[in-house]
Amino acid sequence: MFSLPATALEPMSAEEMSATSGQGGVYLTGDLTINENGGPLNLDGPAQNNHNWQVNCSANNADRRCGARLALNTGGGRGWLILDNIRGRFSFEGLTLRTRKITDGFNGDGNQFNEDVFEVGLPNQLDYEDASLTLAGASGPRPTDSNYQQVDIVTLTINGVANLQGNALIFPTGD
Amino acid sequence: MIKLIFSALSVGAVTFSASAELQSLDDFEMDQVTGAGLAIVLEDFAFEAGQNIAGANNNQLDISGLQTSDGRDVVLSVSQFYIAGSGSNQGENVIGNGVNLGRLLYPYQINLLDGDEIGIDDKAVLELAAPSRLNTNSLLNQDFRTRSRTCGSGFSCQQRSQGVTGINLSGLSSRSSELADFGTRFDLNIDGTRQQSLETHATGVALDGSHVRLWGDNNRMVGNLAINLYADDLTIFAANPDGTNAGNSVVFDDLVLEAELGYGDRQAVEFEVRDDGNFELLIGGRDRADTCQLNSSGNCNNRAGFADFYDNGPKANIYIDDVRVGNQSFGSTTISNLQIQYLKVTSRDL
Repeated sequence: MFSLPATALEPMSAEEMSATSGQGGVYLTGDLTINENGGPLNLDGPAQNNHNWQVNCSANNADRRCGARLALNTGGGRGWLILDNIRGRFSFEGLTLRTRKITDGFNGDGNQFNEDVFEVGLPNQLDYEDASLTLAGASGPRPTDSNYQQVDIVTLTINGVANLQGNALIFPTGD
Repeated sequence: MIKLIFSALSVGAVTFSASAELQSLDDFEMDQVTGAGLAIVLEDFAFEAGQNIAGANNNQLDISGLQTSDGRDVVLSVSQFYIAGSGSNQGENVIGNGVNLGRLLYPYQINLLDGDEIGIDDKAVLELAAPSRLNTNSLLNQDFRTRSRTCGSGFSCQQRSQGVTGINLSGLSSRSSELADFGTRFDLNIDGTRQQSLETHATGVALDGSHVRLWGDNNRMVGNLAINLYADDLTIFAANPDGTNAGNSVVFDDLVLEAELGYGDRQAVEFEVRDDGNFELLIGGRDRADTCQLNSSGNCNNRAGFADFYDNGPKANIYIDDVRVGNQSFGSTTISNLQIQYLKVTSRDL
């Protein structure tokens, strides 16, 4: 505990601060799991409305209402746009963040551009495990609403890896 | 433990004193700062996903929710979806063959626009935009002739296209090295049995000039949509699930799609979910006052709004320089200057 001497940190002067730039960057590893076993409503949700909140969210179950759910009203108090069944695991290793000044390259654009950009170095691989997402339309925000109707449009299921390469360069536009 | 908390506090104090170096901006400096939006350029970018990509182990990328006409479940099992630079050889050469999407001077953008400047009065407009074009001209060189029949009777003389004489790519901001290849291979999976593989590959693709503009109107979200696509060629063919025995390719050479949906706030595009859960897309003159200036008795006063729509309103062009099936060439196909006055698309649950 005593190996952390607080006094080792010292304030920097304005001159020292202005000579310092944080160009080392950041290396990120991410692992996100959403509702692997369904949300709390799967445990205590009501059984009406054809079990719209499901009880069993195991991988091989055909139940369609597991995972996170986002309901958006597109206006006028009519129907709802639903992103349903959002679950699974998403992970990556090696996403990098840094700032970079571009003064050349880019087939002649870099010299004219001559600005700083925020560079997101994309990881080489994205890993998915039983990730899914359903796009649907519905009469109300919750399956437990009376006379609830939901029309599933399309369901996306992803397992395994996706490969990618490159950098995303982000900068403000000014006009 | 007390020692640890104390050290964290002192770090906080040091950080605080550093922030005292921030200095205020004067009015002139403030004037130089515009928070208009965010630009994104993808540098040396390539992407692939699907069942049969390099390094895959038990990969799965399925799109489900479709059914055959007799009610059997259809799953689209994607073998490969890819975005890469030119020379991708129909998805064989993806990783290691990157492409710059967007230029530093003409990037992809997320903008907050002043609607007054783009024909959407008194609204803040959210815009998602692909790289802009260098001019507002169509990529198609068209041979226009004056159409005398429509002169007079409240309308100005109209020009009618007699045909397309060529494609002019000088309006694209993307240079030839910044055109992407993309494509998808998927197997049709009906009732759990693999039936057929369909492949679509496009080379030399630019989306310059495309945008989505969204704003709020009476608690509804409405928008305008511009789709501008150019592709050197688009190839479609079917094969057995294992990729063998491929049939004839259908090839579209030099494909140009220029479509605008909606005309500012005079003809906004509405996307709604109806109260039975189905979708509805509406493009139309909902409000007659927008197009014909109603008089006191509620009738159209003049046709100024319509004339403006026909003269300056959005027009769609689709042009394919050559359609080939196998070794047969079917020549060029053109749809030009198509205007949509009213369109309503509604989904139904079968």
